[in-house]
Amino acid sequence: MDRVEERKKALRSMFQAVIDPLGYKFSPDEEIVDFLLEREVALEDKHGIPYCPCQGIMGNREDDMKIVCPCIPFHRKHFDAMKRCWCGLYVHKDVTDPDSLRQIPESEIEQ
Amino acid sequence: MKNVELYALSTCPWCAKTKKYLSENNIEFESTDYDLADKEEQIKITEDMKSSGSNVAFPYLKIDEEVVVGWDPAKYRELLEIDG
Repeated sequence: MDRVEERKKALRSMFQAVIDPLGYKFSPDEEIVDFLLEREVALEDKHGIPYCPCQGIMGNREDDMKIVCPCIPFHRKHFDAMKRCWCGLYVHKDVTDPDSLRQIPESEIEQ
Repeated sequence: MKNVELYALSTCPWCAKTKKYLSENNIEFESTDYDLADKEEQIKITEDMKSSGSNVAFPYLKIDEEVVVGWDPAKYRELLEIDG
């Protein structure tokens, strides 16, 4: 197994232990899970940390720690409202059709 | 014709879907990949995003004065007046 595949496998088992007690699972959409994990390995190679592939790195610890995958704890109200995380790597445990879940802007949730 | 500008990330699949949606619907748009931009451009982008009350989440699509954060083809269709 090549290094990237090995690292994706390691991230997957590491993340599983974190998201399970939060009530989340990996998306049933295996294609997007594989794509996102691959991006996270590349981000980890570049920045030393598996950041979320769909949120901006700001260059300061206070903001950037909130987008380290799995970033669910920092966005609990928002993600619970969507039943998924922003990039779609994780969904609520009862979700069977991830395509039906809309990406709702955080500002819409706060209102 | 509407002024359409996209802030995206080269690592984000939803950003790729948005670019594809706009191209397939023959919508002219400007696109900047935040993660590939220089620091100055990144600051400009984040300030613009925050000025609309958004966090730094992508895709971020500006259609004239409207802003759509996240992949939302129904909203794109409505604002861009695309049939179908």
